[in-house]
Amino acid sequence: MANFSGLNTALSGLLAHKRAIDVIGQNIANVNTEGYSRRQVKLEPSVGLVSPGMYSSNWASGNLGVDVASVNRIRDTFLDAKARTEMANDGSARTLENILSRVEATFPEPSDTAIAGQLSAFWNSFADAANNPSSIPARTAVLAQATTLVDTFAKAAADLKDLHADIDSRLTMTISEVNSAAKRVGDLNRQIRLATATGVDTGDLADQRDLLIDDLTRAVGATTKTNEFGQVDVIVGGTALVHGVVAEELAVVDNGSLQPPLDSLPLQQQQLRWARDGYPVTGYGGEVGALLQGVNDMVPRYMNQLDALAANLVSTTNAVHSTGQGQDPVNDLNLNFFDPAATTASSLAVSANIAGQPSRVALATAGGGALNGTIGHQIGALGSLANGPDAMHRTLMGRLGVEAQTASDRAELQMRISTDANNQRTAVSGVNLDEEMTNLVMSQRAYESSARLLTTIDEMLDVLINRTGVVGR
Amino acid sequence: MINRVASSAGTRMMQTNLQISARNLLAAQEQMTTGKRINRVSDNPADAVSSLGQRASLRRLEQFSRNAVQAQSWFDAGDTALSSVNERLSSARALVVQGNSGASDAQSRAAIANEMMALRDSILQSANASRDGRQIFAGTSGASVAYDANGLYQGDTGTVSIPITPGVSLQVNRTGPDVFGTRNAVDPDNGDVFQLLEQAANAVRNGDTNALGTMLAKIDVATARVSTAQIEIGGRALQLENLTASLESSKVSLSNGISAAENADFAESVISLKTQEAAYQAALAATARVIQPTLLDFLR
Repeated sequence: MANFSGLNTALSGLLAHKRAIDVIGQNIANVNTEGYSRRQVKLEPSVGLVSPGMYSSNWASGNLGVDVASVNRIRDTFLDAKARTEMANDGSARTLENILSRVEATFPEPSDTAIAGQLSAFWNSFADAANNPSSIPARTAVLAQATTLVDTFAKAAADLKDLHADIDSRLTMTISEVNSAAKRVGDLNRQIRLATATGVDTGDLADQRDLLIDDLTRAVGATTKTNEFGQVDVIVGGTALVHGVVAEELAVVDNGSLQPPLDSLPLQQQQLRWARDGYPVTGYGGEVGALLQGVNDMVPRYMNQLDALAANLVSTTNAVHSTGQGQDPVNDLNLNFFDPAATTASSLAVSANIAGQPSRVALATAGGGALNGTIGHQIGALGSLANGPDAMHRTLMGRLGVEAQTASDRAELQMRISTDANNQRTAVSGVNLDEEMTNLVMSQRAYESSARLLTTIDEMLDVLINRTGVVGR
Repeated sequence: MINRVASSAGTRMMQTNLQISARNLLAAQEQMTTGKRINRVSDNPADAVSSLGQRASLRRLEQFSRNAVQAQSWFDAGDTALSSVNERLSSARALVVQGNSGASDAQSRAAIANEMMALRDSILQSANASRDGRQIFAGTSGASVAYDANGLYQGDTGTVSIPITPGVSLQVNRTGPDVFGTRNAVDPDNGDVFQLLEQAANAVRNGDTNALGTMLAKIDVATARVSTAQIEIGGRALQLENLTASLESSKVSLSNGISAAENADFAESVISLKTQEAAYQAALAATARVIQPTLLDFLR
């Protein structure tokens, strides 16, 4: 090669380091961008035509300068997978904590105004009336206290029903978000494939796709598998949600009534299915997993227990009340206090035979005198019954408390784990300004040096062209 | 092991830690302001359930206290009525003695007989004593008087029992026949106290000294019956007093139990609040330091 080849070497240095500085600029600009993976310029010496032969020269294989081999997107797929697993666990734990804390808010214990307090007040109103069986105001107080108790039960039942409807609608919303994210991942896969084929940088597209996959993981606990042409498959429970450019859809479908069925609410069991063939999805997790658990198990379970509590109240009270006698010794016999057919928290009601007729409240034993208060005192003592409504309510509160506490502890622990995993991931892929500054200085110096090389060669040529062979001029 | 630190990692970690600190601070503040360690069941399920049980027991004991007040008023009314009956009976006995011993003219005998009938009416009045609109000697019947003007019992034999402590009920009433004897239509001499006084008045009026002699013993029997009932009421009142005392001490110990389970230890909550406050401020200070110098500060 001739003398001018040095100029090309200098030029390649200028161009390569200009590119490196551009990439550093991009990294610095995106230091706070969520999901951005830092880029790294990979340089390599230019390779000329190498065909060893008799006339091939040293010039052909060396001194050709530098090339930008590639701009790499720095990411650790292992740490990605780990961070995403923890993200799914985090989504699930937080959602469960949220659901349980709302169930707990339905039962504002310990206090004197919630169900436990109302039960005591109800029993006590019977004892007060029994101390003065002829007093209509005392009997009216029994009915008023019963109405308050019934309302308290109805309110708790309505709160749980609202919670159930809320979770249900949140589930539907999450699934539609999952479907649209899956569709966008498919689109990005197509764009990345085309871009790769035409040699365009796909880093930004891949960053976008990774963010979407993070969302999908948090929502349904998806995993990924890298496909040919740089495409990524998103997998839920062994089946592809996104395969290459094709995205499937998920749907939440009614799957028969809940077991055991709730009389108060004809609730349907919700099942996650593939929209295309209606086959049930298995192995999902994340927020959707927790929401389905809330809709199918948790909230219905507490609804059932509340209903059982109401049924216990009805049967316990009626068992004693029906043996008693109201003020009329002939007609006020064998009366139920609560409507025996209404054994759920939402339907619980004072029997139509008693409601509004305080004189019919049974305080006396059947055949007893008009001022007999034996049955009233017996009902007044029902609060201390070993398997009565009060004891049952305490058991229910204990279970709920432990479950809510466990969920809350787990959510806090999971938040720490998840933050940690995410930190490990960003430790690899995040931008560090110190590092970028160092690289910037290095590239700047290299650029300056290439420019100096150019100047040097230019001066050498100047000597050769303008000052050589002018002796004696 | 993290060997590279992304510039945003510090900020993110600080944000997470700030959230945790703020949450702990809020929990400490809630404890301070409500004065309670347990604000919802999940704060400590075991203590919360035990406090629920103790609250229910306490409310039951408060009912027992109200019952005890009722029982006390029964005993007071019974005791007052029986004391006056007792006095009347001893006056009647004195009159029988007087009628038996000398007053020979019909006029003075009639005066004694009238006085005796007045005593009988007065005893009838005491037998119809009521409390809170209710006849105390009429059992569980709703009759407006225990004895009508003719001395016929209107009530029943029902007992009135009031629960005072778990498992213990006190009978608070005595029925008319218990206290005043059973009416005997065939043989009025062996009937209740009203018949007895009527018979005694007749005997005095007729100067029937033989009858008066037996009458004296019978009045003694009737007086003993009333005294027995009065002593019984006194005994139960004493029992009530003891039960009420133990009731009150149970209430105190339950209240203590509830506050031990639910209430925050004030000193502990203050310290915890201060600790959390310090931790939060430290976290804030650390966050301020996150905007740390970079290489940029040293390059020109």
